[in-house]
Amino acid sequence: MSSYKTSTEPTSGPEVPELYFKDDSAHFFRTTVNTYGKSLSGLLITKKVNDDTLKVTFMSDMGLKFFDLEIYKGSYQLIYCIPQLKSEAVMNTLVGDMSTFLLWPYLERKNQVLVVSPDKHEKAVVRYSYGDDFLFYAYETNNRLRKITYAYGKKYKKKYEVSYDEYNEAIPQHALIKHKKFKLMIELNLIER
Amino acid sequence: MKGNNFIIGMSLLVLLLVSMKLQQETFKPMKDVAGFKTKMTEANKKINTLKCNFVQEKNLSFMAEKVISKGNMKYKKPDMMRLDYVTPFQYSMSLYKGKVMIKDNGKVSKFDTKSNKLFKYINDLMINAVQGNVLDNPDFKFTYKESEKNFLIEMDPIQATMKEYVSKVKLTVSRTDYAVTKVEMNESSGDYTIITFTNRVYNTVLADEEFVVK
Repeated sequence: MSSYKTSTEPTSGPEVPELYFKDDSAHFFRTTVNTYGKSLSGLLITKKVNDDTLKVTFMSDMGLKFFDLEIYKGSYQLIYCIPQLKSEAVMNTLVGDMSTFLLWPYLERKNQVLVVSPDKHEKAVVRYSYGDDFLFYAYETNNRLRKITYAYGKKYKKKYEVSYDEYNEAIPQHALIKHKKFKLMIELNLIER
Repeated sequence: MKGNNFIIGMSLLVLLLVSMKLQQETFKPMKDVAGFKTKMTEANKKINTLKCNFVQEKNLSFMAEKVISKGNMKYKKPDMMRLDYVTPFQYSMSLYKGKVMIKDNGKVSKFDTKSNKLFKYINDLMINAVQGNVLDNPDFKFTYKESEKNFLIEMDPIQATMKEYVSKVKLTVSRTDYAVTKVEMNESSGDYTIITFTNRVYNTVLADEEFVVK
């Protein structure tokens, strides 16, 4: 990502879209979490309770809950979690991943900069400062969000990527969260109800 | 045929025609617990296979509506079970010879229950509840109740680790054939899941291959 040069013309890019929360309805995703040979599979339910609260619940297909989170802006509350996931590091990772995937402003996105990507599929890439780190939003033609990259450091090292595809009426039906520093991958398929 | 483990789901709530108000079935302490256990155990022994439909309701406090899933289930003694979800999504999960097989969106994944204790716990809980084979489970404290139509077994986990997953499990057992018609799993948050079994067919020939997800 250090090869991404600042664009001189144009100087601004697309705004971050509201993919999943145009209304206050709940959204359901068939979700699989894979890490170091272990896997959890089930239903992820998300709901924007109000402008300051995002509810995220992940449960097995048989209905037993894996975790239940309320994500605010800058903080979160763990309502419930199975023992296997109960650690601050794990929860911080999941909160970060979910916030990025769902485009929830857990931290404020600042200092928008349009950059030029060497990837021809990325027609526009917008970089934001995000806390001490960075988010790169890559768009295809028609301003469809293709990928979000979470990066850190002066050389913008990749921490994880969220990719979106299988768009149907401007909503991606499939997403993949893939970490670079350790083996964690989360695959999500939107369920139409 | 008198069955044991799985019986057609019977509704616990009776709709009052005048007021349209749901009235909960009234359960009282069971009078003859020993007799009930004997009859349920005997009925359980006669079941080798089961096919049925199921309706799964998940009640979450932050959702105005229940999350309802429907599908078909197959069971073969002692430890094979397959759930095929039909709505709102198509998804298959099978327990087969110590492995969990999942088919989701056309992709098949396999996991070893030995290496994934959480899967094993959930799967064992489900199989034992569906079997009705829970009466001698040392991990729970049992309370036995009965109404005019059904028996109710309330299971309270004893160990703290068990309580992390469920605060209480309730099995509704039909008076007709001593089979489990409904499983209710309660969480300490107040959320709960109810799985109801209907259209049960016992002891048909089910090949092991029917439990392999492809």
